[in-house]
Amino acid sequence: MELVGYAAAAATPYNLLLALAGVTAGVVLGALPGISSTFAVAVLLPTTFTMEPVSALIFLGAVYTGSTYGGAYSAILVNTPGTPQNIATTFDGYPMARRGDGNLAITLACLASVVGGLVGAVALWAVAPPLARVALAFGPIEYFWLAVLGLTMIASLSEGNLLKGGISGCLGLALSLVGVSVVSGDTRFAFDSPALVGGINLVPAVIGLLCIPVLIDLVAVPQPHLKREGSVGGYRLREALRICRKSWGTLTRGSLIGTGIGVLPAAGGSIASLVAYSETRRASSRPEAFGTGEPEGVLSSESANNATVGGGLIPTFVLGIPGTPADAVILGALLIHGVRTGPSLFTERAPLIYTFIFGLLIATLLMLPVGLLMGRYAYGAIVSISKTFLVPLVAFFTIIGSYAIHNDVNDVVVMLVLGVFGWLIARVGIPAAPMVLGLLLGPIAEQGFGQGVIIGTATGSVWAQFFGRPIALAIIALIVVTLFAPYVLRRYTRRLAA
Amino acid sequence: MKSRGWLLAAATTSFAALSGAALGYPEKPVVFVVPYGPGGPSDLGARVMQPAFKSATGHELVIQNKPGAGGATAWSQLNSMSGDGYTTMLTAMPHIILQPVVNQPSGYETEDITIVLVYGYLPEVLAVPKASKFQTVKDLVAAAKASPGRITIAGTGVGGGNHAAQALFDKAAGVRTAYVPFKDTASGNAALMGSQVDTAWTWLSQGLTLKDNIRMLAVASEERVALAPSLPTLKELGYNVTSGAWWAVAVPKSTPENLRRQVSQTFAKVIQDRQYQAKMSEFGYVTMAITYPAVSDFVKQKTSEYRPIARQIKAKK
Amino acid sequence: MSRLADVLMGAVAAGFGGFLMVASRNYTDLGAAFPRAVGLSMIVLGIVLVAGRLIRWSVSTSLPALEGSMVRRALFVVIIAIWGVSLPWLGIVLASVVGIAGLTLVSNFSRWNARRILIHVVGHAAIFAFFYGLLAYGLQVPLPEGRIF
Repeated sequence: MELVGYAAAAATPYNLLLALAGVTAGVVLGALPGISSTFAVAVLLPTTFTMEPVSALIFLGAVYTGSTYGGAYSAILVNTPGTPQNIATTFDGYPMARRGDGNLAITLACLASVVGGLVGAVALWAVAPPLARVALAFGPIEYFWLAVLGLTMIASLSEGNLLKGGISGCLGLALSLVGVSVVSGDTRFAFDSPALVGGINLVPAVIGLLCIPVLIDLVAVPQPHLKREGSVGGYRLREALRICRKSWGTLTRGSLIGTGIGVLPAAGGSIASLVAYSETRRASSRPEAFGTGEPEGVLSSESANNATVGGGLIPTFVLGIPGTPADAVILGALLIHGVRTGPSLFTERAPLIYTFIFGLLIATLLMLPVGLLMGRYAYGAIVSISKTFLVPLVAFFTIIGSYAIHNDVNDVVVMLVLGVFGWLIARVGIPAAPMVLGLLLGPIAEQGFGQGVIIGTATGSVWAQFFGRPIALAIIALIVVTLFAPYVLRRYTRRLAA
Repeated sequence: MKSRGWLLAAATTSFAALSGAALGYPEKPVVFVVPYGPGGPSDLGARVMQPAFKSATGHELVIQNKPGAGGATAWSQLNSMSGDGYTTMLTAMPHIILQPVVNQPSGYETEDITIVLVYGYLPEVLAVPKASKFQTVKDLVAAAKASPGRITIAGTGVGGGNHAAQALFDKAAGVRTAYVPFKDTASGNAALMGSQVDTAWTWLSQGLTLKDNIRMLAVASEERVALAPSLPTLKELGYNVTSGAWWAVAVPKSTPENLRRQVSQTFAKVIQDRQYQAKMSEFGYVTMAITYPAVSDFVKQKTSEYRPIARQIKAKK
Repeated sequence: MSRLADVLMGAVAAGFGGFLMVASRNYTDLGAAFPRAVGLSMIVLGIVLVAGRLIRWSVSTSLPALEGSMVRRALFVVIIAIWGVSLPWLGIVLASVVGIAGLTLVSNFSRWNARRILIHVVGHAAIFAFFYGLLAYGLQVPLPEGRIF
């Protein structure tokens, strides 16, 4: 059994150390708002130049998966996703923290991340080539409809007031239009400012919209930031495991959605976790609880985003096309180490790939003790720290996080302006989350739309393009169900009760 | 007489050595700003330079990604950066020639970019999915002529290198293809592999890496490339189209003359690294070194070549 | 009061939508598609919101009362804005000294004594030094260096 050989190769002391170091570094970096997984992997890439290809891959993979989980810390504790993949974790993670269940949320995030990561890695091992082929069937039209599906989430994030949520979503879409249009080349809404020509970057915008309003309200009152409800301290592991066992369907759904969307080139953990969250809410027996601190919200988001680590590596290895933004860097690492991608990778260089997959599995498993330990300290620190330390520290990260990605003060300005704006609109009841959604999904929707129109015009029928493709139709059906099922169900149950 | 000549020679040499040593460049890590996201073809080329830079100079080459507007965001900020010789930026031609004309306002003019070294050339290729019915460029042209506007051809962005290639080719072959812009090379190639589009303009490096799923029909360089000797050039097929990207190192305008030379020579030395050259040619890049100040003529020549094309693209928009 | 706010907000939204539609006149057809769609949506949403509030439909969400000090909130915004905007001039270290000190004061609700001051100075310095080191040296992330300092 060569498998044993591969596992042994992955478990050498050196590789084990790299897996551990990678996961730890990843968790720390991912927790810092503004340091995305892509940034973390890119910044640590030079350290791998002297390593063997397998070791380099294991290290980078560990960093990737660790950072995807680490971002949950700031998402849960200060409503700021540490990486874009954790946006959906803020929806229920932060409310949980506000009511004193922050440690539970962190533990749930850890368990979900491990489960999702394992599912993604197993998919990579077992069904990579066929899944990659399916991914190729997703064209611009399918991406368009997928983005629309994501946008329908605005309805569920609007807490009862669809109009205001819709306005927020439109604002986000409008922001995403600033800059040079990919499909038409127009420079839009830039008002002759070179800073705006590059568009509004997602990370500073998200930090501004989600974190600054929290800080603004933090300084206004003397009460501590997060309650220490009762004396339920520690990891609350047993409680978390109980919840996981009860919600195994959510975990499965999240992991599968994460793997599936991760396989689609250029669709990453952010979209996967949003779609998984949306689907979990739709299938739940108490959808109203989502957004108020429902544990399944955290489970769905965190399992999906870690599943994209393994899932995203599928097109990366099989096709040579990155499945998620961070995979572009990993692909670079492969090429620099002289590893040619393609289906032959699984046959000619089987030792490399399978040893790496074992390494990724090990790193994901290591995330359990590392994540729980670090989570406990992170939670303990944030809960007990006095505001005079917490506020400046978090503010420091909002500024540095916005600045560091592209070395641009304009990003800091964007963060501040949107931050104040986010607080102001919250005062009139407009939620900020739909705006984040619009900003994230707007470009994907518009590019898919534009490309679809061009292709449709060329092939003779735009309608056939948008409504004549099987996968697209399936997504459209899902959109319809997501939008109208709640109402239909309500009317049906009302009729039954009558 | 002889001894005086000796003395003069010795004096000149030691003076040159002293001035070089006195400048001592680089004395700390050098920043190389890449105007695209991590993982793209130009970013990769820069990262492969990192180990070579370290061994040539003893200092790190720090890569900073500053994507946006197809590179325009970074290029428009170049001259606001510090001209101390430790801030450099990756620039690409014909992008910096096309953008100020095609995508206004780009925030900069071609002449604002101070290039100190052209270090690489990556030709473009015309590619089709592996299962495509087009076997040669002639098939493609025939199909395009038979149904104008129906052949879809993918490329990165509007007004970029791929778009210029498409415009040039359409004109040379007398056809009209439908250009489908994608946000980056990877997305366009994914669409090509899935047969969402009929053909694509992409880079030789992608064509080589993705050869399991895509087939290159022709390369848009002057001569055939060593890595794909059976790949015909468009020129030899009768289409006078050469297109590709030249990668260059640029510095802020405020960088003084002697520092410009230093940066130019340092990078030129770095790319002599054997391993770097091997890796680059493996990827399909042609390494070259046009140093400062001769490089300005090269830039001027390319500018006059590509400006008319830029206006042509702009007119069609 | 909240009804008035909603009416105003609806009007602003509709106005913004109108702006989007007008501004996209100069764009190509493809480039104007999304701006027009978003603009139209905002106009519709804004009008429906205004109309609904004027016809006295119930305000479904009750907004939480604004508790706490507005002065502190305003100061927070001012200080963090100064912190961010002064980065190119003061550099990361100096700007952060100002920012951290300012925000510490703004978020302080207890009495200052020598011990507390000492803890804060040492604590903030240590935390800042750690992250500065991590970013600048560990990760080689260039941090803003001021023009003056």
